[in-house]
Amino acid sequence: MDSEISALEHQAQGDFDKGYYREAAACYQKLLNIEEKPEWKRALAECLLQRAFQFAHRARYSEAIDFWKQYQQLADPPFAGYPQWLIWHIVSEDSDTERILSQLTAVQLDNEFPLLAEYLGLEILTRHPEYRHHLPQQSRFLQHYQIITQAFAALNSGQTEKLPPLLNNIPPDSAFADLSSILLAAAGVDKNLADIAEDSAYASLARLLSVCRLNGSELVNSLMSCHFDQRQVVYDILALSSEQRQLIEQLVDKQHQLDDKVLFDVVLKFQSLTETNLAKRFLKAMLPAGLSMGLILSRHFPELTAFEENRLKALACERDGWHKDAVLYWQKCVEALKKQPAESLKIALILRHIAGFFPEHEQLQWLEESLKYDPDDTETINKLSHHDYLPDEIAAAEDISLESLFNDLPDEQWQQLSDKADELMQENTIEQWAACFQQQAGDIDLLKTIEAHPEILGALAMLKAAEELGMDSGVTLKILLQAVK
Amino acid sequence: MNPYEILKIPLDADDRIIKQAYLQQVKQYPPEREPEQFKCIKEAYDMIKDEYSRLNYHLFNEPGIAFEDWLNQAVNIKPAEQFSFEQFEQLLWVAVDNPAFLDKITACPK
Repeated sequence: MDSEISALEHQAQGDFDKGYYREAAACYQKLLNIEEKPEWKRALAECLLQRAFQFAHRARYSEAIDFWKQYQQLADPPFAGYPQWLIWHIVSEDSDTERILSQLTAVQLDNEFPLLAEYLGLEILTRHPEYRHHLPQQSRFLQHYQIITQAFAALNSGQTEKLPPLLNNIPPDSAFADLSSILLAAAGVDKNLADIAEDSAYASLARLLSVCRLNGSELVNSLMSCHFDQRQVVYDILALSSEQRQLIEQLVDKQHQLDDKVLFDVVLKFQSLTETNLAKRFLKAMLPAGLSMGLILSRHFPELTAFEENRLKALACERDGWHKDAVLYWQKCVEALKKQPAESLKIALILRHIAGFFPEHEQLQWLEESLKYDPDDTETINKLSHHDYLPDEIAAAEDISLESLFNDLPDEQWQQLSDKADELMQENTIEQWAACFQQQAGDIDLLKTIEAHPEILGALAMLKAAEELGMDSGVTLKILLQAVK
Repeated sequence: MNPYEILKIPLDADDRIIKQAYLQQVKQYPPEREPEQFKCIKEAYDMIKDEYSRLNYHLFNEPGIAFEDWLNQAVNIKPAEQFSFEQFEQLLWVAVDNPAFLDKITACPK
Protein backbone atom coordinates (compact mmCIF):
# COMPACT_ATOMS: atom_id res chain seq x y z
CA MET A 1 0.00 0.00 0.00
CA ASP A 2 2.79 2.38 0.95
CA SER A 3 4.59 1.78 -2.30
CA GLU A 4 1.32 2.36 -4.21
CA ILE A 5 0.84 5.71 -2.44
CA SER A 6 4.43 6.64 -3.04
CA ALA A 7 4.12 5.82 -6.75
CA LEU A 8 0.89 7.81 -7.02
CA GLU A 9 2.43 10.77 -5.24
CA HIS A 10 5.45 10.60 -7.52
CA GLN A 11 3.25 10.50 -10.59
CA ALA A 12 1.13 13.40 -9.36
CA GLN A 13 4.19 15.57 -8.81
CA GLY A 14 5.61 14.58 -12.21
CA ASP A 15 2.37 15.45 -14.01
CA PHE A 16 2.17 18.76 -12.15
CA ASP A 17 5.75 19.66 -13.10
CA LYS A 18 4.99 18.91 -16.73
CA GLY A 19 1.89 21.12 -16.66
CA TYR A 20 -0.51 18.12 -16.89
CA TYR A 21 -2.80 19.59 -14.26
CA ARG A 22 -5.84 17.44 -15.05
CA GLU A 23 -3.83 14.23 -14.63
CA ALA A 24 -2.11 15.59 -11.52
CA ALA A 25 -5.49 16.58 -10.04
CA ALA A 26 -6.83 13.03 -10.63
CA CYS A 27 -3.82 11.55 -8.81
CA TYR A 28 -4.20 13.91 -5.86
CA GLN A 29 -7.93 13.14 -5.72
CA LYS A 30 -7.10 9.41 -5.48
CA LEU A 31 -4.58 10.13 -2.74
CA LEU A 32 -7.14 12.18 -0.82
CA ASN A 33 -9.59 9.31 -1.07
CA ILE A 34 -7.01 7.20 0.77
CA GLU A 35 -6.11 9.80 3.34
CA GLU A 36 -7.03 13.48 3.78
CA LYS A 37 -3.53 14.85 4.03
CA PRO A 38 -3.40 18.71 4.08
CA GLU A 39 -0.44 18.84 1.62
CA TRP A 40 -2.35 16.74 -0.93
CA LYS A 41 -5.34 19.00 -0.48
CA ARG A 42 -3.17 22.04 -1.09
CA ALA A 43 -1.64 20.36 -4.13
CA LEU A 44 -5.07 19.52 -5.56
CA ALA A 45 -6.17 23.13 -4.99
CA GLU A 46 -3.08 24.34 -6.86
CA CYS A 47 -3.92 21.98 -9.77
CA LEU A 48 -7.46 23.40 -9.93
CA LEU A 49 -6.16 26.97 -9.88
CA GLN A 50 -3.79 26.19 -12.73
CA ARG A 51 -6.61 24.58 -14.69
CA ALA A 52 -8.75 27.69 -14.15
CA PHE A 53 -6.03 29.86 -15.70
CA GLN A 54 -5.48 27.39 -18.52
CA PHE A 55 -9.15 27.71 -19.48
CA ALA A 56 -9.10 31.50 -19.09
CA HIS A 57 -6.09 31.63 -21.41
CA ARG A 58 -8.19 29.88 -24.05
CA ALA A 59 -10.97 32.45 -23.42
CA ARG A 60 -13.16 29.68 -21.92
CA TYR A 61 -14.13 31.84 -19.00
CA SER A 62 -17.11 29.87 -17.67
CA GLU A 63 -14.93 26.76 -17.15
CA ALA A 64 -12.25 28.98 -15.66
CA ILE A 65 -14.78 30.40 -13.21
CA ASP A 66 -15.92 26.91 -12.17
CA PHE A 67 -12.41 25.59 -11.59
CA TRP A 68 -11.52 28.68 -9.57
CA LYS A 69 -14.56 28.10 -7.38
CA GLN A 70 -13.43 24.49 -6.79
CA TYR A 71 -9.96 25.81 -5.95
CA GLN A 72 -11.46 28.27 -3.48
CA GLN A 73 -13.32 25.47 -1.67
CA LEU A 74 -10.08 23.58 -1.05
CA ALA A 75 -7.61 26.43 -0.46
CA ASP A 76 -7.10 28.69 2.52
CA PRO A 77 -7.45 32.46 2.14
CA PRO A 78 -6.08 34.74 0.78
CA PHE A 79 -7.15 33.22 -2.53
CA ALA A 80 -4.86 33.62 -5.49
CA GLY A 81 -6.39 34.97 -8.70
CA TYR A 82 -9.44 36.49 -7.06
CA PRO A 83 -9.39 39.76 -9.07
CA GLN A 84 -8.83 37.73 -12.26
CA TRP A 85 -11.82 35.58 -11.35
CA LEU A 86 -13.88 38.77 -11.05
CA ILE A 87 -12.61 39.97 -14.43
CA TRP A 88 -13.54 36.63 -16.03
CA HIS A 89 -17.09 37.23 -14.84
CA ILE A 90 -17.07 40.67 -16.48
CA VAL A 91 -15.45 39.50 -19.70
CA SER A 92 -17.86 36.60 -20.07
CA GLU A 93 -20.84 38.86 -19.19
CA ASP A 94 -21.83 36.29 -16.62
CA SER A 95 -25.26 36.71 -15.02
CA ASP A 96 -23.59 36.74 -11.62
CA THR A 97 -21.38 39.72 -12.44
CA GLU A 98 -23.50 42.43 -10.86
CA ARG A 99 -23.98 40.46 -7.66
CA ILE A 100 -20.25 39.83 -7.38
CA LEU A 101 -19.38 43.45 -8.11
CA SER A 102 -21.72 44.59 -5.36
CA GLN A 103 -19.59 42.61 -2.87
CA LEU A 104 -16.48 44.62 -3.72
CA THR A 105 -15.23 47.07 -1.09
CA ALA A 106 -13.82 50.53 -1.81
CA VAL A 107 -10.40 49.42 -0.54
CA GLN A 108 -10.35 46.45 -2.90
CA LEU A 109 -11.37 48.59 -5.86
CA ASP A 110 -9.08 51.54 -5.07
CA ASN A 111 -6.01 49.79 -3.67
CA GLU A 112 -5.97 46.03 -3.81
CA PHE A 113 -7.17 45.11 -7.29
CA PRO A 114 -5.73 47.65 -9.76
CA LEU A 115 -6.04 45.22 -12.69
CA LEU A 116 -9.74 44.75 -12.03
CA ALA A 117 -10.30 48.48 -11.55
CA GLU A 118 -8.57 49.28 -14.85
CA TYR A 119 -10.68 46.81 -16.80
CA LEU A 120 -13.87 47.71 -14.99
CA GLY A 121 -13.31 51.40 -15.86
CA LEU A 122 -13.13 50.56 -19.56
CA GLU A 123 -16.24 48.37 -19.38
CA ILE A 124 -18.24 51.07 -17.56
CA LEU A 125 -17.24 53.66 -20.18
CA THR A 126 -18.28 51.40 -23.03
CA ARG A 127 -20.32 48.20 -22.85
CA HIS A 128 -21.62 48.18 -19.28
CA PRO A 129 -22.25 51.65 -17.79
CA GLU A 130 -24.81 50.00 -15.46
CA TYR A 131 -22.04 48.23 -13.50
CA ARG A 132 -21.18 51.50 -11.76
CA HIS A 133 -24.43 51.34 -9.76
CA HIS A 134 -23.18 48.16 -8.06
CA LEU A 135 -19.84 49.59 -6.95
CA PRO A 136 -19.08 51.21 -3.58
CA GLN A 137 -20.31 54.75 -4.04
CA GLN A 138 -17.69 56.31 -1.75
CA SER A 139 -14.79 54.80 -3.77
CA ARG A 140 -12.11 56.96 -5.40
CA PHE A 141 -12.75 54.87 -8.50
CA LEU A 142 -16.19 56.42 -8.96
CA GLN A 143 -14.90 59.92 -8.16
CA HIS A 144 -12.34 59.54 -10.95
CA TYR A 145 -15.00 58.15 -13.22
CA GLN A 146 -17.00 61.36 -12.64
CA ILE A 147 -13.98 63.44 -13.64
CA ILE A 148 -13.59 61.42 -16.82
CA THR A 149 -17.24 61.97 -17.76
CA GLN A 150 -16.76 65.71 -17.20
CA ALA A 151 -13.69 65.59 -19.45
CA PHE A 152 -15.76 63.81 -22.11
CA ALA A 153 -18.37 66.56 -21.87
CA ALA A 154 -15.67 69.23 -22.25
CA LEU A 155 -14.28 67.47 -25.33
CA ASN A 156 -17.80 67.10 -26.71
CA SER A 157 -18.47 70.82 -26.39
CA GLY A 158 -15.06 71.72 -27.84
CA GLN A 159 -13.81 73.19 -24.56
CA THR A 160 -10.50 71.40 -24.69
CA GLU A 161 -8.88 74.02 -22.48
CA LYS A 162 -10.87 72.56 -19.59
CA LEU A 163 -9.26 69.16 -19.96
CA PRO A 164 -5.83 69.74 -18.33
CA PRO A 165 -7.18 71.21 -15.05
CA LEU A 166 -9.85 68.53 -14.86
CA LEU A 167 -7.56 65.62 -15.63
CA ASN A 168 -4.89 66.87 -13.25
CA ASN A 169 -7.17 65.47 -10.56
CA ILE A 170 -6.57 61.95 -11.80
CA PRO A 171 -3.50 60.58 -9.97
CA PRO A 172 -1.01 58.24 -11.70
CA ASP A 173 -2.23 55.24 -9.67
CA SER A 174 -5.85 55.74 -10.72
CA ALA A 175 -7.64 53.16 -12.84
CA PHE A 176 -8.26 56.03 -15.29
CA ALA A 177 -4.67 57.37 -15.43
CA ASP A 178 -3.92 55.92 -18.89
CA LEU A 179 -7.26 57.07 -20.26
CA SER A 180 -6.57 60.55 -18.91
CA SER A 181 -3.25 60.73 -20.84
CA ILE A 182 -4.93 59.46 -24.00
CA LEU A 183 -7.70 62.05 -23.68
CA LEU A 184 -5.15 64.85 -23.47
CA ALA A 185 -3.44 63.45 -26.56
CA ALA A 186 -6.75 63.20 -28.43
CA ALA A 187 -7.51 66.83 -27.64
CA GLY A 188 -4.09 67.83 -28.98
CA VAL A 189 -2.97 69.09 -25.58
CA ASP A 190 -0.22 66.55 -25.03
CA LYS A 191 0.87 64.33 -27.87
CA ASN A 192 2.88 61.82 -25.92
CA LEU A 193 1.38 58.35 -25.91
CA ALA A 194 4.63 56.53 -25.23
CA ASP A 195 3.88 56.11 -21.53
CA ILE A 196 0.92 53.80 -22.13
CA ALA A 197 2.14 50.27 -21.40
CA GLU A 198 1.43 47.59 -24.00
CA ASP A 199 -0.55 45.54 -21.51
CA SER A 200 -2.67 48.46 -20.36
CA ALA A 201 -6.42 47.99 -20.84
CA TYR A 202 -6.20 51.21 -22.91
CA ALA A 203 -3.23 50.15 -25.05
CA SER A 204 -5.41 49.43 -28.12
CA LEU A 205 -6.97 52.88 -27.84
CA ALA A 206 -3.54 54.54 -27.61
CA ARG A 207 -2.34 52.53 -30.60
CA LEU A 208 -5.37 53.48 -32.71
CA LEU A 209 -4.84 57.12 -31.87
CA SER A 210 -1.21 56.81 -33.00
CA VAL A 211 -2.31 55.09 -36.21
CA CYS A 212 -4.58 58.06 -36.99
CA ARG A 213 -1.54 60.31 -36.79
CA LEU A 214 0.23 58.45 -39.60
CA ASN A 215 0.21 58.81 -43.34
CA GLY A 216 1.16 56.82 -46.44
CA SER A 217 2.91 53.48 -46.10
CA GLU A 218 3.36 53.88 -42.33
CA LEU A 219 -0.38 54.24 -41.93
CA VAL A 220 -1.08 51.22 -44.13
CA ASN A 221 1.49 49.06 -42.35
CA SER A 222 -0.01 49.95 -38.98
CA LEU A 223 -3.53 49.21 -40.19
CA MET A 224 -2.43 45.69 -41.12
CA SER A 225 -2.49 44.70 -37.46
CA CYS A 226 -5.87 46.33 -36.71
CA HIS A 227 -9.06 44.36 -36.93
CA PHE A 228 -11.83 45.15 -39.38
CA ASP A 229 -13.94 47.39 -37.09
CA GLN A 230 -10.89 49.35 -35.99
CA ARG A 231 -9.85 49.95 -39.60
CA GLN A 232 -13.32 51.21 -40.52
CA VAL A 233 -13.23 53.77 -37.71
CA VAL A 234 -9.75 54.93 -38.74
CA TYR A 235 -10.88 55.23 -42.38
CA ASP A 236 -13.79 57.41 -41.30
CA ILE A 237 -11.69 59.63 -39.05
CA LEU A 238 -9.06 60.15 -41.76
CA ALA A 239 -11.75 60.54 -44.45
CA LEU A 240 -10.13 58.03 -46.78
CA SER A 241 -11.68 57.70 -50.22
CA SER A 242 -13.47 54.50 -51.11
CA GLU A 243 -10.65 53.54 -53.48
CA GLN A 244 -8.04 54.08 -50.76
CA ARG A 245 -10.08 51.89 -48.40
CA GLN A 246 -10.32 49.17 -51.04
CA LEU A 247 -6.57 49.34 -51.62
CA ILE A 248 -5.81 48.92 -47.91
CA GLU A 249 -8.34 46.12 -47.51
CA GLN A 250 -6.77 44.29 -50.43
CA LEU A 251 -3.31 44.66 -48.86
CA VAL A 252 -4.67 43.44 -45.51
CA ASP A 253 -6.21 40.40 -47.23
CA LYS A 254 -2.93 39.52 -48.89
CA GLN A 255 -0.62 40.62 -46.12
CA HIS A 256 0.94 37.18 -45.74
CA GLN A 257 1.66 36.79 -49.43
CA LEU A 258 2.75 40.22 -50.56
CA ASP A 259 5.11 39.06 -53.30
CA ASP A 260 6.09 41.01 -56.42
CA LYS A 261 3.16 39.64 -58.40
CA VAL A 262 0.62 40.76 -55.80
CA LEU A 263 2.19 44.21 -55.49
CA PHE A 264 2.18 44.55 -59.28
CA ASP A 265 -1.52 43.68 -59.47
CA VAL A 266 -2.31 46.09 -56.65
CA VAL A 267 -0.54 49.02 -58.32
CA LEU A 268 -2.08 48.12 -61.67
CA LYS A 269 -5.57 48.09 -60.15
CA PHE A 270 -5.18 51.26 -58.11
CA GLN A 271 -2.89 53.23 -60.39
CA SER A 272 -5.38 56.10 -60.54
CA LEU A 273 -4.58 56.91 -56.89
CA THR A 274 -1.20 58.35 -57.88
CA GLU A 275 0.31 60.33 -60.73
CA THR A 276 0.30 58.15 -63.84
CA ASN A 277 4.08 58.35 -64.17
CA LEU A 278 4.70 57.08 -60.67
CA ALA A 279 2.51 54.03 -61.13
CA LYS A 280 3.99 53.38 -64.57
CA ARG A 281 7.53 53.56 -63.25
CA PHE A 282 6.68 50.95 -60.66
CA LEU A 283 4.84 48.75 -63.16
CA LYS A 284 7.51 48.93 -65.86
CA ALA A 285 10.16 47.82 -63.41
CA MET A 286 8.04 45.01 -61.98
CA LEU A 287 6.47 43.63 -65.17
CA PRO A 288 6.11 39.89 -64.62
CA ALA A 289 7.34 37.56 -67.34
CA GLY A 290 4.66 35.39 -68.89
CA LEU A 291 1.77 35.31 -71.24
CA SER A 292 0.06 38.33 -69.71
CA MET A 293 3.11 40.52 -70.32
CA GLY A 294 2.15 41.57 -73.86
CA LEU A 295 -1.47 42.12 -72.89
CA ILE A 296 -0.54 44.33 -69.93
CA LEU A 297 1.82 46.39 -72.04
CA SER A 298 -0.59 46.90 -74.92
CA ARG A 299 -3.47 47.77 -72.59
CA HIS A 300 -1.66 50.00 -70.12
CA PHE A 301 1.33 51.26 -72.07
CA PRO A 302 0.05 51.88 -75.61
CA GLU A 303 2.57 54.69 -76.03
CA LEU A 304 5.61 52.40 -75.98
CA THR A 305 7.72 51.91 -79.12
CA ALA A 306 8.43 48.39 -80.37
CA PHE A 307 11.96 48.71 -79.02
CA GLU A 308 10.80 49.81 -75.54
CA GLU A 309 8.15 47.14 -75.38
CA ASN A 310 10.61 44.39 -76.25
CA ARG A 311 13.22 45.81 -73.90
CA LEU A 312 10.76 45.66 -70.98
CA LYS A 313 9.79 42.12 -71.93
CA ALA A 314 13.44 41.12 -72.12
CA LEU A 315 14.15 42.64 -68.69
CA ALA A 316 11.11 40.90 -67.20
CA CYS A 317 12.25 37.57 -68.62
CA GLU A 318 15.76 38.14 -67.30
CA ARG A 319 14.46 38.97 -63.84
CA ASP A 320 12.35 35.81 -63.75
CA GLY A 321 15.16 33.65 -65.12
CA TRP A 322 13.63 33.06 -68.56
CA HIS A 323 16.93 33.59 -70.35
CA LYS A 324 16.05 32.06 -73.72
CA ASP A 325 13.03 34.34 -74.00
CA ALA A 326 15.14 37.28 -72.89
CA VAL A 327 17.54 36.68 -75.79
CA LEU A 328 14.63 36.55 -78.24
CA TYR A 329 13.27 39.86 -77.00
CA TRP A 330 16.71 41.46 -77.07
CA GLN A 331 17.05 40.31 -80.67
CA LYS A 332 13.72 41.96 -81.43
CA CYS A 333 15.10 45.12 -79.82
CA VAL A 334 18.05 45.00 -82.20
CA GLU A 335 15.72 44.58 -85.17
CA ALA A 336 13.67 47.57 -84.03
CA LEU A 337 16.78 49.69 -83.52
CA LYS A 338 18.14 48.85 -86.94
CA LYS A 339 15.20 50.77 -88.39
CA GLN A 340 16.22 53.87 -86.46
CA PRO A 341 19.17 56.06 -87.33
CA ALA A 342 22.07 56.68 -84.93
CA GLU A 343 21.35 53.77 -82.62
CA SER A 344 24.50 51.81 -83.44
CA LEU A 345 25.91 52.02 -79.94
CA LYS A 346 22.68 50.66 -78.41
CA ILE A 347 22.73 47.77 -80.88
CA ALA A 348 26.35 47.00 -80.01
CA LEU A 349 25.61 47.10 -76.29
CA ILE A 350 22.63 44.77 -76.68
CA LEU A 351 24.63 42.31 -78.77
CA ARG A 352 27.32 42.24 -76.09
CA HIS A 353 24.62 41.81 -73.47
CA ILE A 354 23.16 38.86 -75.41
CA ALA A 355 26.64 37.31 -75.56
CA GLY A 356 26.55 37.19 -71.77
CA PHE A 357 23.77 34.60 -71.88
CA PHE A 358 25.93 32.10 -73.74
CA PRO A 359 28.93 29.98 -72.73
CA GLU A 360 32.28 31.54 -73.62
CA HIS A 361 32.85 29.64 -76.84
CA GLU A 362 29.44 30.69 -78.17
CA GLN A 363 29.91 34.36 -77.39
CA LEU A 364 32.22 35.11 -80.32
CA GLN A 365 29.56 35.60 -82.99
CA TRP A 366 27.68 38.15 -80.85
CA LEU A 367 30.82 40.02 -79.89
CA GLU A 368 32.08 39.98 -83.44
CA GLU A 369 28.79 41.35 -84.70
CA SER A 370 28.80 44.05 -82.04
CA LEU A 371 32.06 45.39 -83.43
CA LYS A 372 30.24 46.19 -86.68
CA TYR A 373 28.28 48.78 -84.70
CA ASP A 374 30.98 49.93 -82.28
CA PRO A 375 34.39 48.95 -83.68
CA ASP A 376 36.48 50.77 -81.07
CA ASP A 377 35.31 48.95 -77.97
CA THR A 378 38.52 47.91 -76.23
CA GLU A 379 36.89 45.44 -73.92
CA THR A 380 35.25 43.48 -76.73
CA ILE A 381 38.43 43.49 -78.82
CA ASN A 382 40.32 42.31 -75.78
CA LYS A 383 37.86 39.45 -75.20
CA LEU A 384 38.11 38.42 -78.82
CA SER A 385 41.90 38.49 -78.73
CA HIS A 386 41.79 35.71 -76.15
CA HIS A 387 40.21 33.59 -78.85
CA ASP A 388 42.95 34.42 -81.41
CA TYR A 389 40.54 36.66 -83.13
CA LEU A 390 41.62 39.75 -85.03
CA PRO A 391 38.91 41.74 -86.67
CA ASP A 392 39.42 41.73 -90.44
CA GLU A 393 39.03 45.48 -90.71
CA ILE A 394 41.75 46.15 -88.16
CA ALA A 395 44.15 43.66 -89.67
CA ALA A 396 43.64 45.17 -93.09
CA ALA A 397 43.93 48.69 -91.77
CA GLU A 398 47.16 47.83 -90.02
CA ASP A 399 48.72 46.45 -93.17
CA ILE A 400 47.59 49.31 -95.32
CA SER A 401 48.59 52.07 -92.94
CA LEU A 402 51.97 50.68 -92.03
CA GLU A 403 52.63 50.06 -95.65
CA SER A 404 51.43 53.48 -96.71
CA LEU A 405 53.52 55.15 -94.02
CA PHE A 406 56.70 53.39 -94.84
CA ASN A 407 56.28 52.79 -98.57
CA ASP A 408 55.72 56.44 -99.28
CA LEU A 409 59.05 57.34 -97.71
CA PRO A 410 61.91 58.26 -100.01
CA ASP A 411 64.73 55.70 -99.91
CA GLU A 412 66.99 58.07 -98.05
CA GLN A 413 64.51 58.59 -95.21
CA TRP A 414 63.64 54.90 -95.14
CA GLN A 415 67.33 54.09 -94.64
CA GLN A 416 67.59 56.76 -91.95
CA LEU A 417 64.53 55.33 -90.20
CA SER A 418 65.76 51.78 -90.47
CA ASP A 419 69.19 52.66 -89.08
CA LYS A 420 67.66 54.55 -86.21
CA ALA A 421 65.35 51.61 -85.42
CA ASP A 422 68.31 49.21 -85.41
CA GLU A 423 70.17 51.52 -83.10
CA LEU A 424 67.26 51.71 -80.74
CA MET A 425 66.74 47.96 -80.79
CA GLN A 426 70.27 47.48 -79.55
CA GLU A 427 70.03 50.14 -76.86
CA ASN A 428 66.60 49.34 -75.38
CA THR A 429 65.45 46.39 -73.34
CA ILE A 430 61.99 44.85 -73.60
CA GLU A 431 61.00 46.62 -70.39
CA GLN A 432 62.02 49.97 -71.83
CA TRP A 433 60.00 49.37 -74.99
CA ALA A 434 57.00 48.47 -72.96
CA ALA A 435 57.43 51.55 -70.81
CA CYS A 436 57.75 53.77 -73.91
CA PHE A 437 54.35 52.79 -75.28
CA GLN A 438 52.45 51.69 -72.17
CA GLN A 439 50.63 55.01 -71.87
CA GLN A 440 49.24 54.77 -75.39
CA ALA A 441 48.39 51.09 -74.82
CA GLY A 442 45.83 51.97 -72.15
CA ASP A 443 44.69 48.93 -70.20
CA ILE A 444 46.72 46.43 -72.28
CA ASP A 445 49.74 45.05 -70.46
CA LEU A 446 52.32 45.81 -73.14
CA LEU A 447 55.19 44.07 -71.37
CA LYS A 448 53.32 40.77 -71.33
CA THR A 449 52.22 41.24 -74.94
CA ILE A 450 55.81 41.84 -76.13
CA GLU A 451 57.01 38.84 -74.15
CA ALA A 452 54.36 36.71 -75.83
CA HIS A 453 54.86 38.20 -79.31
CA PRO A 454 58.45 39.49 -79.57
CA GLU A 455 57.93 40.00 -83.32
CA ILE A 456 56.15 43.28 -82.66
CA LEU A 457 59.36 44.76 -81.23
CA GLY A 458 60.52 45.57 -84.78
CA ALA A 459 57.37 47.55 -85.46
CA LEU A 460 57.66 49.38 -82.16
CA ALA A 461 61.29 50.23 -82.92
CA MET A 462 60.23 51.71 -86.26
CA LEU A 463 57.58 53.78 -84.55
CA LYS A 464 59.98 55.01 -81.90
CA ALA A 465 62.49 55.87 -84.58
CA ALA A 466 59.82 57.76 -86.55
CA GLU A 467 58.92 59.64 -83.39
CA GLU A 468 62.54 60.54 -82.64
CA LEU A 469 63.12 61.66 -86.21
CA GLY A 470 60.05 63.86 -86.00
CA MET A 471 57.86 61.84 -88.39
CA ASP A 472 54.09 61.58 -87.78
CA SER A 473 53.47 58.12 -86.42
CA GLY A 474 50.21 58.72 -84.48
CA VAL A 475 47.79 57.02 -86.83
CA THR A 476 49.98 54.02 -87.33
CA LEU A 477 50.58 53.65 -83.62
CA LYS A 478 46.85 53.50 -82.98
CA ILE A 479 46.37 50.83 -85.57
CA LEU A 480 49.33 48.87 -84.29
CA LEU A 481 48.02 48.95 -80.76
CA GLN A 482 44.64 47.73 -81.91
CA ALA A 483 46.36 44.89 -83.65
CA VAL A 484 48.29 44.11 -80.49
CA LYS A 485 45.00 43.95 -78.63
CA MET B 1 20.58 48.77 -56.89
CA ASN B 2 19.11 52.02 -58.15
CA PRO B 3 22.02 54.45 -58.42
CA TYR B 4 19.66 57.40 -58.73
CA GLU B 5 18.09 56.58 -55.39
CA ILE B 6 21.44 56.09 -53.74
CA LEU B 7 22.78 59.40 -55.03
CA LYS B 8 19.38 61.04 -54.45
CA ILE B 9 19.15 62.56 -57.91
CA PRO B 10 16.45 62.64 -60.59
CA LEU B 11 16.51 60.21 -63.50
CA ASP B 12 17.41 62.99 -65.94
CA ALA B 13 20.46 64.21 -64.00
CA ASP B 14 23.47 65.12 -66.15
CA ASP B 15 27.22 64.55 -65.59
CA ARG B 16 27.58 67.69 -63.48
CA ILE B 17 24.66 66.98 -61.17
CA ILE B 18 25.70 63.35 -60.78
CA LYS B 19 29.27 64.28 -59.87
CA GLN B 20 28.04 66.94 -57.46
CA ALA B 21 25.73 64.45 -55.75
CA TYR B 22 28.50 61.86 -55.61
CA LEU B 23 30.96 64.26 -53.97
CA GLN B 24 28.31 65.36 -51.51
CA GLN B 25 27.61 61.75 -50.54
CA VAL B 26 31.31 60.98 -50.23
CA LYS B 27 31.65 63.94 -47.91
CA GLN B 28 28.85 62.53 -45.81
CA TYR B 29 30.18 58.97 -45.91
CA PRO B 30 33.97 59.16 -46.25
CA PRO B 31 35.64 55.82 -47.09
CA GLU B 32 37.76 55.78 -43.94
CA ARG B 33 34.71 56.09 -41.67
CA GLU B 34 31.92 54.43 -43.66
CA PRO B 35 33.65 51.95 -45.99
CA GLU B 36 30.51 49.93 -46.79
CA GLN B 37 28.38 52.97 -47.51
CA PHE B 38 31.18 54.51 -49.56
CA LYS B 39 31.52 51.33 -51.62
CA CYS B 40 27.83 51.47 -52.40
CA ILE B 41 28.00 55.16 -53.37
CA LYS B 42 31.04 54.58 -55.57
CA GLU B 43 29.30 51.67 -57.31
CA ALA B 44 26.24 53.83 -57.91
CA TYR B 45 28.39 56.63 -59.29
CA ASP B 46 30.28 54.31 -61.63
CA MET B 47 26.99 53.02 -62.98
CA ILE B 48 25.88 56.43 -64.28
CA LYS B 49 28.88 58.75 -64.20
CA ASP B 50 29.01 59.48 -67.96
CA GLU B 51 26.79 59.29 -70.98
CA TYR B 52 28.08 55.87 -71.99
CA SER B 53 27.56 54.26 -68.59
CA ARG B 54 24.11 55.87 -68.33
CA LEU B 55 23.14 54.48 -71.72
CA ASN B 56 24.32 51.07 -70.61
CA TYR B 57 22.46 51.35 -67.30
CA HIS B 58 19.17 52.54 -68.79
CA LEU B 59 19.26 49.92 -71.50
CA PHE B 60 19.56 46.99 -69.12
CA ASN B 61 17.81 48.34 -66.06
CA GLU B 62 14.43 49.81 -65.43
CA PRO B 63 14.85 52.07 -62.43
CA GLY B 64 11.49 51.66 -60.79
CA ILE B 65 10.30 52.91 -57.46
CA ALA B 66 9.78 51.15 -54.17
CA PHE B 67 6.23 49.99 -53.44
CA GLU B 68 6.37 52.08 -50.24
CA ASP B 69 7.01 55.21 -52.33
CA TRP B 70 4.00 54.48 -54.48
CA LEU B 71 1.93 53.76 -51.38
CA ASN B 72 3.04 57.01 -49.79
CA GLN B 73 1.43 58.86 -52.65
CA ALA B 74 -1.58 56.57 -53.01
CA VAL B 75 -2.54 57.07 -49.35
CA ASN B 76 -1.32 60.61 -48.99
CA ILE B 77 -3.79 61.98 -46.47
CA LYS B 78 -3.78 64.56 -43.73
CA PRO B 79 -3.14 62.75 -40.44
CA ALA B 80 -5.45 63.55 -37.55
CA GLU B 81 -4.04 65.86 -34.90
CA GLN B 82 -7.11 66.41 -32.78
CA PHE B 83 -10.14 64.21 -32.33
CA SER B 84 -13.75 65.14 -31.75
CA PHE B 85 -15.64 63.45 -28.93
CA GLU B 86 -17.55 61.31 -31.43
CA GLN B 87 -14.31 60.14 -33.00
CA PHE B 88 -12.76 59.45 -29.61
CA GLU B 89 -15.80 57.50 -28.54
CA GLN B 90 -15.76 55.45 -31.76
CA LEU B 91 -12.11 54.62 -31.17
CA LEU B 92 -12.78 53.71 -27.54
CA TRP B 93 -15.52 51.30 -28.55
CA VAL B 94 -13.41 49.39 -31.04
CA ALA B 95 -10.42 49.31 -28.68
CA VAL B 96 -12.04 47.53 -25.75
CA ASP B 97 -10.27 44.22 -26.16
CA ASN B 98 -6.52 44.42 -25.91
CA PRO B 99 -4.91 40.99 -26.38
CA ALA B 100 -1.92 41.94 -24.20
CA PHE B 101 -4.25 42.92 -21.37
CA LEU B 102 -6.24 39.72 -21.77
CA ASP B 103 -2.95 37.81 -21.51
CA LYS B 104 -2.29 39.63 -18.28
CA ILE B 105 -5.59 38.53 -16.74
CA THR B 106 -4.99 34.92 -17.69
CA ALA B 107 -1.42 34.69 -16.41
CA CYS B 108 -1.50 32.62 -13.26
CA PRO B 109 -0.10 34.40 -10.18
CA LYS B 110 2.84 32.54 -8.64
